[in-house]
Amino acid sequence: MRTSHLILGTTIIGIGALTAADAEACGCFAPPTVAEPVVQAGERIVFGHDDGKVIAHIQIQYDGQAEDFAWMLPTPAIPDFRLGSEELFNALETNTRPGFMLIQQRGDDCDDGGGFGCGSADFLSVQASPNDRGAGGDSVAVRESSAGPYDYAVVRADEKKPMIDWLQENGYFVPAATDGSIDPYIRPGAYFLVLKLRAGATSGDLQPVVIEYESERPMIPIVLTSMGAVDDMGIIVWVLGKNRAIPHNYQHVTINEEYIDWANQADNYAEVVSRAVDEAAEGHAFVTEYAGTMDPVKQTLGSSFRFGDKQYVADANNLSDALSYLRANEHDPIVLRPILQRELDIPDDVLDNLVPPQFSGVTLQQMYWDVYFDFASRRTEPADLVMLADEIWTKYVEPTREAIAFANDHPYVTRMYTTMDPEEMTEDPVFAFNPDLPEISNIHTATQINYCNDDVSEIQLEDGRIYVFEPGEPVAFGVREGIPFAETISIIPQEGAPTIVTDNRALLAAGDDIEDGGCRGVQHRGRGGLRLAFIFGMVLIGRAVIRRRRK
Amino acid sequence: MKKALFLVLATAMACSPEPPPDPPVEETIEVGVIRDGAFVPLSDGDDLELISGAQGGFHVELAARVDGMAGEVEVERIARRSDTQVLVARSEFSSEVLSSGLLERSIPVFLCPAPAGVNVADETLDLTYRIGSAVGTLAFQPRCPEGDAFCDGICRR
Repeated sequence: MRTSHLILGTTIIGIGALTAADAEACGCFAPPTVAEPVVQAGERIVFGHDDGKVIAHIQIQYDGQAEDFAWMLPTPAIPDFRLGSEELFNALETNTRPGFMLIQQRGDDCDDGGGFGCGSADFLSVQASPNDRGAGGDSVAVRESSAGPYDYAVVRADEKKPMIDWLQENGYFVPAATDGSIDPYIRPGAYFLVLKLRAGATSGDLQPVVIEYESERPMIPIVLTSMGAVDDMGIIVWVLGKNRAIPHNYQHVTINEEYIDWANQADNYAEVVSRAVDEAAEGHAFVTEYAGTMDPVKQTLGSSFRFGDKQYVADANNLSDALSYLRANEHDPIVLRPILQRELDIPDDVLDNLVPPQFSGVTLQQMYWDVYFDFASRRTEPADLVMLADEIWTKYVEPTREAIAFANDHPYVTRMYTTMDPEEMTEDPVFAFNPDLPEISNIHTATQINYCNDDVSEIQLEDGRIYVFEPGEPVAFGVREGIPFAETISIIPQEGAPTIVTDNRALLAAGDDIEDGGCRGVQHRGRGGLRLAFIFGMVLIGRAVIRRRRK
Repeated sequence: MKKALFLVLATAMACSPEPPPDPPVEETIEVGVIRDGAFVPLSDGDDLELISGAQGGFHVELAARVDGMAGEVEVERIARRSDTQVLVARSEFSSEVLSSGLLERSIPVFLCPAPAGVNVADETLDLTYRIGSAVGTLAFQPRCPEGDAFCDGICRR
């Protein structure tokens, strides 16, 4: 039995939410050179799997020159391609991202009995155009068309050279480092979906895409990614289904939460995951960050009826009235930014610098609407509201309605995360389902107890481990020799319980500072926490954008 | 006399029994492959070469021929290691039944990358098709193409 202390004045201070901004790694491209492939890291993907078909919603994040944008995806069959919705990703991110909450408590030796102070409990979380161009039976391209900001093609991947020649001849840039990593995907009957930005489109016009194809398993072509990947590249995947998804051919890891920097907003979370995953065989493992009901996501997405009627926008008296209608019908002004910013000719910095004042109750969405109305009121020439309505419904409303229907079709979501070095990208991760597994919460808590008389602090983890910090010692964990980052490493089958291949729980428990029946014992000497910036994002494929020099 | 004969014949025709209905066709499932456009049933113990899929995986292509069914059916297909009964592959899909009895959709049986910790290549797998109460089974051994090191790498654990 551990020494227990009466807790006075419990206060919860939440820390360490991995925000959506943290999750998006900016793919900033250097000028392309032959020598140095550039990586775009920062795509997130949502898989659904039904009736022998995989539906993948892919969010592409890119920040560079439009002409340097290139994107390739191998598929086992000719895919259906259409535009996706940012709102799906925002809703999933908001409701499933991991949060680390440190609860502050006063020790029972503190006479004042007051609270520690209140903090906010922030948790530490194609439609094909009429230009659909068919291709001849012997052509490399089996389909060419446009959707939203993209020109796209589906090309045969039976042989590499004809495919790459066709791509180059048709303005689809091919990374110079593609050769080796593309080979596993060159097979008779195989295809690649390739995208480029349409003339006049910019990187700001990028929006998610939806790809649907016949396949028994959702799979990430990570081998293709290796061509331009960086070390510890983050991969986030959501898998929607009837029950919990699992890594089919990768192992599964739970992290040692002792190493989380609880006092500093868990800013080393990605590093902890990276080190834990590296302890699995070949570094091939995922962490499950959330597994449970889709209900919160569906609630955030709302009803597909909330967008109103397109004709009302088209028939509005003026642009301000149109904006009023959009706002009243719960259109997301941030998601509409590419369209409205261009329509209203708003400089980037006006919107980029919007920050809601603390404790004002004003939201970022409200600030966006204020800017839109301000610029609309200053506009002198009339807007083409018919065209505006058409663009909003084509690029935003219809894809969002589809995303809502997609979410509503699936009762369960699993979010998994890993990091990989390029040399670890030797086998594509595949996902399956196991209906026998329990849910996983994305919220993790620890309790920091601050004693008054001897000024020590304790951090108690959810599993009961306690660590003591001396007066003046920073409350931060350092790496302890012989103490692993992985709590458990297991293999999860498609039915039944996981098989634990490495169980470090006893080793970790032996390392804490409170022995059964004892008082506070050996002080744990905290070191400075690992302060490494982390790359957090999901890469579907690495994309080295190198302009091949034509001879 | 004629009147009596007429009465006898009329009575006989009125009372002749209905022909018995055809016995219901038993619902069956045969597992095989399509070769040269024709269905070829397979036998337990057959080898099947693993075929490289477009996304870097390997699969076997099987077909199912049914009897006693029509329209759209719901198919459940499971593959297990014969020795350990570990689940290797599972899929559920709907398909129309063609007039030939073949299922219109023939989704490949995805086997590799093999599940973590489970060897697939050269092992005997028990495959089960289930449509309603009908069951079709096949025990087969998937083989990597000769000399395909990549297949060996992801199909063997």
